[in-house]
This record gives sequence, structure tokens and C-alpha cells, in this order.
Amino acid sequence: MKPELRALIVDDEAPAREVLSELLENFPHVRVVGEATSVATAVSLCADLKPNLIFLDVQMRDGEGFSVLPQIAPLPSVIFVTAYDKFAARAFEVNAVDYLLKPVSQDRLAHALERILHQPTATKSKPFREDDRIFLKSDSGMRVAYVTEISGIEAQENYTRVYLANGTTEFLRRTMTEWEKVLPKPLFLRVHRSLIVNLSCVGKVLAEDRDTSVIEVTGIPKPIPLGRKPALRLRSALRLRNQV
Amino acid sequence: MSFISKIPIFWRFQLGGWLAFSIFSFPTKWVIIESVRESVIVAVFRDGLGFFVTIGMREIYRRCYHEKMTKAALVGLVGGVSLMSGLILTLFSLGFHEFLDFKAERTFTSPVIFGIFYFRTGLCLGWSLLYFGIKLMRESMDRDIRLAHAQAVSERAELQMLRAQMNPHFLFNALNTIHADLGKPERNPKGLVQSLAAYLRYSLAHRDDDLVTLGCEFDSVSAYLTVETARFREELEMECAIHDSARKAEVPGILLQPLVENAIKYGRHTSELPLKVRVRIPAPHSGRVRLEVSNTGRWLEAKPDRKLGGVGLSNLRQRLEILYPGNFRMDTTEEAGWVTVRVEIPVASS
Repeated sequence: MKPELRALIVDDEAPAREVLSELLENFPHVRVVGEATSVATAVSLCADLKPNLIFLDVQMRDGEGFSVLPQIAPLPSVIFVTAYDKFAARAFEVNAVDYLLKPVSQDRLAHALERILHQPTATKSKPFREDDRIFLKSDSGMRVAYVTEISGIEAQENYTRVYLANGTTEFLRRTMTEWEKVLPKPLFLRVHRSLIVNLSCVGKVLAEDRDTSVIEVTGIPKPIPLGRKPALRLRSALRLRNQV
Repeated sequence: MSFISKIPIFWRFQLGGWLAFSIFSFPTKWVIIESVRESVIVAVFRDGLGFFVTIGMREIYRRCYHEKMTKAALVGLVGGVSLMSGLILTLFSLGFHEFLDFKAERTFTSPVIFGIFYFRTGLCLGWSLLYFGIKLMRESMDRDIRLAHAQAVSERAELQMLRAQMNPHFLFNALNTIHADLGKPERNPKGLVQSLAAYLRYSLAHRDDDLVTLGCEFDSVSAYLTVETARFREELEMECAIHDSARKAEVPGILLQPLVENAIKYGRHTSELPLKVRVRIPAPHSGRVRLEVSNTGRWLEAKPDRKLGGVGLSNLRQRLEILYPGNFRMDTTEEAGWVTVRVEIPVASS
């Protein structure tokens, strides 16, 4: 007996909602509990109905479907549904998320529902490109940001803290090694064991004395002290970047 | 530097050139005349005269030279003007020396006079070559810049057309709607397929045409709106009307399309549902045709930092500026809950 999935369909086109509910009738363990036609109604329906699965259209009339995510808690499993998205393949990243392309086929839908039952599956992340969007899933919710908005990543035991250029941070269950694999080089540099920075966000590199320097990074509130070797590494990467 | 760059290029070369010539030929004068004072007077007079005579030459070239001139005529013009200027310079030099009664050059033998004439004519010829060289180079540079600019603009238009033809979101959403409506005769999926085909056929068939008939463009936009109505069902109402006499008017392709796309995009952001979109094309009046596309909702000022930013409309305005410089109108009004974009252009009837 499969656990019951209570699904909310979010799409601003009636025919698209119809196709999905009809397809879902073939899956007895999935019950459509509601349909939302905008970001705003999606947020309020999530609060009322507490679905554990949402199908989310990426392009909505009052904004991007992504913007629903930071506004709801607890976060249900998310399946994005989109007519066309050139970033779809690479933006797909987090366990709880799948991407479906319209028109959705029954087989592909079955596969996506299977994935939800068997999470967590191993993430096989491809490296991002600079214009990609990335899902930041923390225990408190999920948000979507452009890769270039990440200004730095700091290790905190087995977790990592992600700093965004606008000053917000997220606390994620990912390791530095995982981050290093997916963030595009040469924009991002692993300065030392517990720090990755976005070179375009590095402001000043100040030498305190012979062995320590301090750097300022947009979006990270406190200046970060660096030892001699990491500072050298950072300086030469910045120099290389400025030559291009 | 900024002061120098404000001087027109001709005067920069004219002043700088004659000054340099005067300075570099001064030692020769000194050797011949054997007096610094007299050499300075001669240099100032002769080269000053050369400065003014060449300004006169420039006036003649400006009046006589035109782009269709043959090479032979140009050579004749340059030769004639240079000879005449050489003669004037020589005669003035002789008169000047008589007047000042200089020792060294008092005896003007025929070979010396000819030598002066020969040298001054050569100088004028050299000046002319430099003048035309710089002039032609600048003209060709300006031409290249204009050409590159025109090309960039037409490439942008082409890109926009490609986007309109291939708009993948539209296409896949249309297919999804057909997928949803199949097996539901009350939804008329067959009609939807026909509308989509009509729109695609128009986009593909006219992609290389500069001008299309307004009737054609109108039908394609109607088909597009029919597909969108099927997508959004009760949430979108359309109303399209064209006066028969406007159908034959020849207009640039993809003229209505961006207006309608814009109306739907911003209408869905700002309007109460159902969104209403209205296309109206009245009869052409005194050689001009007016297109009106209205939607319910509010006018959103395009913001550069927004991705949605009304790119379609500004592209269209740019294209119209190239096609009908100063002879078109495009304005937006908002009243009683309707936003209307009006475009008025001159038409050629086929």
C-alpha cells in the first residue's frame, strides 16, 4: 500500500490543470485536493489544505511559480510543470523536485511520482552555468536564486551556509565538496577548506600583516580573515579574472 | 586634449600641417637667404599665404567636387587648381620680394622663378592629395558606421521575428491545450489545430518578406488570439475587426503581433478576469492606416531592470523609426480601464 499523496495543482491555464487531474486519476494513491490559478491562491491553499505534493507551473500570470516556495511551510514535494524551459535539465537539482514538460505523458508522470516515494535518491548534479537557477532547500523552506547571486559559501560542520548578494543567507544540508563540484569555475573559487567565494563579489583584500589578510565580500556581513596561502590563491585568481 | 578635439578635423590638419611645414623648411630658407630675420619674414609671409590660398582651394573643392565625378575630372580639377594656386603663390612671392628689396633673392633668373613655381605647385598638389585622402577616408568610415548600424538594427528585427515565429512557450502551451481538448468535441480541438496551423503557416511563409498585406497580418493575429482564447478559456475574450479597404494596405510584417502579445502579457498581469483584447483597424484615411490594440487593465511603464520590460514595443518603435523616419505615430493611452496602443503609418496600396 503506497502512502497517500495529497496533491495541489498550480497552473493558470484551465486546460493544463484538466490534463493533469485526468492523468492523476490513473494513480489511486494520489488525490487532487485543490487547484490554484495564481501564486497568491497557491500560497493560501497550501496553508489551508496542507498538501504533501504540489504541481507548480513555472510561468504564472502574477509571477514565477518559484516564488510560491519561500512562502510555504512545511515544504511539500514539488514537481515543476512547464511548457518550455531551456534551463530545466540543469536547474533540476534537489531530491524533492522533479521537472515535467507539457504536454505531460503518463509514463513520465509515473516516474516522477515513483521518485517522490523513494526519496532521497542520490543527487547527480551537473555543474551549473552562470545563468542557471538553483534551488536552495533548507529545513525551513525552499527558495530559488540565480547562481550568480550566490556570493559565498561557508562550511559549518556537515552543513553549509550560503550567502546571497542581497544579504540573505540559507543553511543547507550540503557539503563543501558537493558545492565545489557544481559551482561554475572560474567565477567561484574554493579559497580554503571551509570557504568558497564568488570572485565578482569580492570587494577589498586588505593585508593586515605578513601572514594574514582580510577580505570583504558583498552579502557577507563580517570581513573574513585569510591566511597567507589562501590570500595568495585569491589574489592570483582575481588578477587572472581582471585580465580577461 | 578635449580643447583640441573640439576643433574640426580640417582646421587641426590645416594649422598643424602648415606650422610643421614652416618649421621643417626653415633651415633651407636660412641657408639660401643667409639671414635669420629675413628668413623669418619670408617664412611667415610665404607659408601664411600658402595657408590662406589652400583655404581658398578647399572652398573650390567643396563647390566643384561631388560623388559622381569621374576620376579624369577629379585629376583635372586637382591639377588645374594646384597649377593656379602655384602660380598665385609664385607671383605674390615675386611681388613681395620686390617690395621688401631683399638682397639674396633680388636676382630672379628664369630658372629660379620656375623652381619656385614648380615647388609651390607641388606643394598645392600634395595638399590636395592629403585633403581628398582624408575626406574620402572619413566618408568611407562614416558609411561603414552607418552600414553597420543599419545592419545591427535589421538583425535585431530579424531576431524579434524569429522569436515571434518560434515562441516555444506559445507553441508548447498550444499543443498542451490541444492535448487537453482532444476527445471533447464541445471544446472544438479541430478548430484549434486549424488556427494554430494558420498562424504557423503565416509565420513561416512570410519570414523573408519586407512587406505583407495588412489583411494577411490581421488574419494571422486573429488565429493567434483564437489559440490563446482556447488556452485561457473564459479568462480571455477577443474582438478583432478590420475594414475591408485596409486589407490591401502593404505594411511591414510582424506589426500587429508584438502589440497583441504585449496586450495579453500585461493584460494578464493587471486586468480583472476575463481579460478583454480588442484589435481594430479602420479604413485608411489620406494614405495612412491606423492600428489599434486595446486590453483591459493598467499600463505598466517598462522598467529596465524588469525582464518583462516591454521589449516588444520598443523593438517595434525602433523598426518604425527606420522604415518611416518622422512619418509615423505610436502612442499609448489609458482610460476607463482600457489600455490602447495606436500605431499610424503611411501605406502603399498594392
